[in-house]
Amino acid sequence: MASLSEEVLLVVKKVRQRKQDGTLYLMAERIAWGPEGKDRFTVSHLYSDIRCQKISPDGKAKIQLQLVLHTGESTTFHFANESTALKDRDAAKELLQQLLPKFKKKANKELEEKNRMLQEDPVLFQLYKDLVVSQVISAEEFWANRLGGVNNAEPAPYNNKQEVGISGAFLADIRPQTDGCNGLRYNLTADIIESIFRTYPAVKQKYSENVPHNLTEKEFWTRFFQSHYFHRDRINTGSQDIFSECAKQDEKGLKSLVTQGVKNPLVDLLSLEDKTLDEGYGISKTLPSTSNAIKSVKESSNSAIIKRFNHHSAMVLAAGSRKGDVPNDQASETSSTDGNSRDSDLFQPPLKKVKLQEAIEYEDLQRENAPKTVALNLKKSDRYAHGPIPLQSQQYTTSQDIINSVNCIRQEMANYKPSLTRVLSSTTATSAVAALSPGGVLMQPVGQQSINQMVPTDIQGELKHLYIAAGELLRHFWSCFPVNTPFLEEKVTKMKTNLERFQMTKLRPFQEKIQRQYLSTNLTGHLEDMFQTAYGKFHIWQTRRMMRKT
Amino acid sequence: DLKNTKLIFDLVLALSEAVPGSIRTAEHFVGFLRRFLEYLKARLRVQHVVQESAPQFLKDIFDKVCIDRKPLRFCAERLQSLLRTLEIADIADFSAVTLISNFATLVSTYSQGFTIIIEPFEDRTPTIANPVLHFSCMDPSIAIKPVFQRFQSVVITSGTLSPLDIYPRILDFRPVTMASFTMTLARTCLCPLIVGRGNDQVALSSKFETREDFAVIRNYGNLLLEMSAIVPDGIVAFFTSYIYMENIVASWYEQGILENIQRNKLIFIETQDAAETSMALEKYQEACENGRGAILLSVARGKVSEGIDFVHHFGRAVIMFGVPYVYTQSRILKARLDYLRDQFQIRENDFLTFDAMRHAAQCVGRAIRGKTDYGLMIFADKRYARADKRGKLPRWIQEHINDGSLNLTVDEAVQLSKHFLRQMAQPFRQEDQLGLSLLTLEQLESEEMLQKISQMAHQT
Repeated sequence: MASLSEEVLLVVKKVRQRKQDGTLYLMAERIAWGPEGKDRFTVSHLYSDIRCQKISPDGKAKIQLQLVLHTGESTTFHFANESTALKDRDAAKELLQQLLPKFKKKANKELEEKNRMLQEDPVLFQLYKDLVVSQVISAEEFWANRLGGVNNAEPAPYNNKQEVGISGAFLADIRPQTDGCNGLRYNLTADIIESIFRTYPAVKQKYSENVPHNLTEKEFWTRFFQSHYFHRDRINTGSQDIFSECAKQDEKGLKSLVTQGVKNPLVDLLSLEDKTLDEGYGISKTLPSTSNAIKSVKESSNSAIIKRFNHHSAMVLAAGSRKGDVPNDQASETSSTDGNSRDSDLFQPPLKKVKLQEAIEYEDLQRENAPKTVALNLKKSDRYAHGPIPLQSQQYTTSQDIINSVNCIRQEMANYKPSLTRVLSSTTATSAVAALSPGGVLMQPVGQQSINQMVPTDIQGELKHLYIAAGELLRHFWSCFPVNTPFLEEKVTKMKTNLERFQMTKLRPFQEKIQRQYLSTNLTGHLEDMFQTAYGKFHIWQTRRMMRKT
Repeated sequence: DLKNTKLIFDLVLALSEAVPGSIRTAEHFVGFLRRFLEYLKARLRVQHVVQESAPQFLKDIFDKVCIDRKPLRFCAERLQSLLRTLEIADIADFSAVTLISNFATLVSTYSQGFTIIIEPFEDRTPTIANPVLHFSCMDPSIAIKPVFQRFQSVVITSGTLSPLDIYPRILDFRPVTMASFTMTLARTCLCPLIVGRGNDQVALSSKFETREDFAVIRNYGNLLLEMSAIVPDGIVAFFTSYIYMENIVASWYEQGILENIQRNKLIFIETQDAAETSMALEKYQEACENGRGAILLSVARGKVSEGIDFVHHFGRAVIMFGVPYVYTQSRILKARLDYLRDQFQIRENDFLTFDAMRHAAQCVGRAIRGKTDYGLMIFADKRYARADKRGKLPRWIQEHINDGSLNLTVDEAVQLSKHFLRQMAQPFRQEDQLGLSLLTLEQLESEEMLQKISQMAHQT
């Protein structure tokens, strides 16, 4: 029964479980049900064991609540109180909804991970079934080597999903709409917000700094749209604008992008410009439109727009090729937040060479590099199965002889006159031909008929599973050698017992089964051999150990 | 570049005269230079534009400060020897003086082919005094003469040398042979289309009168937008001038066209800063490589149009917005046109058209750099359809313009482009090219191939 110290949060009477009337108790740490009149709880589950709860749909006559545990088992409660069943069930559901999240331990994550792995990989699932469910090895041993990934910071091999790229025009989707009374409505979706953060890390930083301490999210975005930062032709950025820093950072980013120069020498305009002899005295090389004094406001806003487009496109490009949002990757060489997504400078000289090489060479004019290979065409592969035949004295015919004999035969064939009196009757001939075709009476199987035609597919499947499972166990076994720690000693002994158990529980029944089906071929010989080798190795190791000890 | 200077001075030394006494000593020479410099400063203090020829200039010098032509001719050489004597390590410090002395030598050596224009202020800012003296060469034959004199055989070759006959006249040489080759193509890999109208039948042109026309700008934008949706990888678009491009980009931005284009491809824009443009170029290539696709907006006669190749997927379509006429209000250009008319009887209009079409051809030619390369060439101006312009395009482009694609609307151009791109996307193996655009050694040496080549060479 419940211990007295447990706090009971909710009691629901007239709840049936497995067709038995009873009462449902929701305690601080567990949920329990006891049958009517009895003192004990027959069903009790800790909240931490419950994975989720389900309720029956509203239209159904039976009002039920189902608890699904992490282990996959489920328990169903039927609320049978005519008048208050729905209310009871909903009350229970609400309470569970509040309680369950509190008890989600980190261990659940592991279970979920295991579950997911088993679901995604059918081979693994089969292996699990063969080894763990049939008790050959324990679950911990099975998961020992596989769950390493969950605890590492490396999500990459388990992250099978591709990241969604950023559309180049994500800011376009926020085109403002007038909402009728002199205001503008901007539609922001979570996707657009994510795009903005990924492309402009400066904005993300501002967001994390200011929300929720200084500004609410709504205020942040309102300010964002109002700021000149958002509008491409930003020339006047007021200093009270929190985004003026973003603008400055963008400027800096663009400058650094430009000064870093380009890797590809064929695109480097600075080296392609004409070197003039004398440009002129007193004439600045850059055209006067770069001096801001003379430029009109419109012109400078135009060039600001253009600059921003280049910068925006560069940022989108960089954000797309950045590998996920890893926060401690600031110093990484392969990604940087100023828009460069290139490899480190170590690779500079070879790239230049490669580009120049590409530009000079024509594929078509290269010599044929590889000599034309002749495909290997084996006609009689049996001959390769035997060793070399000892050289016997043979009669060698010269090629002239061969030519002569061929000519002779040709002549004879040309002069052949059928003597129809000495010909077999047609019936005899056809029966002789039939007997001599494949499958006929006279045709014994000369070569081996391939095994996979003789063995039914389900046996093949089973054999495959056996091999995979045996392989797994043998891998564990063999990886213990050389045995130099006590842990490995234990493991190797355990593995040997596991192997024996496997042989007993899986291999023998399989062998009996195929024997019963009169399959004469020896399908499990190789497996047996592998096991015997393992046992032999173990035996040797054991004797050596005994000798060392004595 | 010292080699260039040497070529010019070879001319001077060919006169085999000694340096005149008035500038032989160093002090005299320096004093001479000072006088010349003061004269130049005085000339720059003008209130209105002055244009004169070299002989007029020399006469004025003689009248004002008694500087004779002969010592002026030896200025550059004298300065070089002075600098050598003084063992000056860093010649760059003396670049200004070198400039003056080179100017002196040039103005006194050539009586024809140069013009001097003094402008007291920039046209755009008439109130700010900013006098500039331009000494420009109007005769290209002077520049290329040293090459012809020094080398026995000179081969001039280019993909955009049309019309061919204008070159011997301008460069003043008699060609031993002139030949024009077309491309031997195993498949038609270029698709020139002349888009003269928008979908609303408004005529498209970069003519000065219609430049600010809202409908024209919108139609141009629509053309680019439609192209960005159907052309894979990279598109390059050329405008006739930087200011024109800026204005159009601003209009497109306001009309929301740029944003719609961005949905399809990223946009990169050439700026007047070479480093920034290089960065944009590299990013453009990166975007073309990784599948996003990109559009590069740049300017005819700019750094990109003259130096950068857009091979294969870097340039699957080139759009020429308008006809790239050079800025015709420039005084230097006017002087040159006058000179060409007077000396070579080349009509002003002909020359301007020739120059514009040459640049247009150069721009669209950026896209095709190899025999397996392919690309669309869109000429977006109704004036391209006229025979006098179309006829000035290189033959290898003209061949593929059929009469049905002379005045297309945007939609029609899009249809043709789609068809062309799908054709080009079919596999094109080496076997398809053998015998046509790719020859084995045996084929090259065969009789009929040699005959074919000599035949083609004689079709000018």
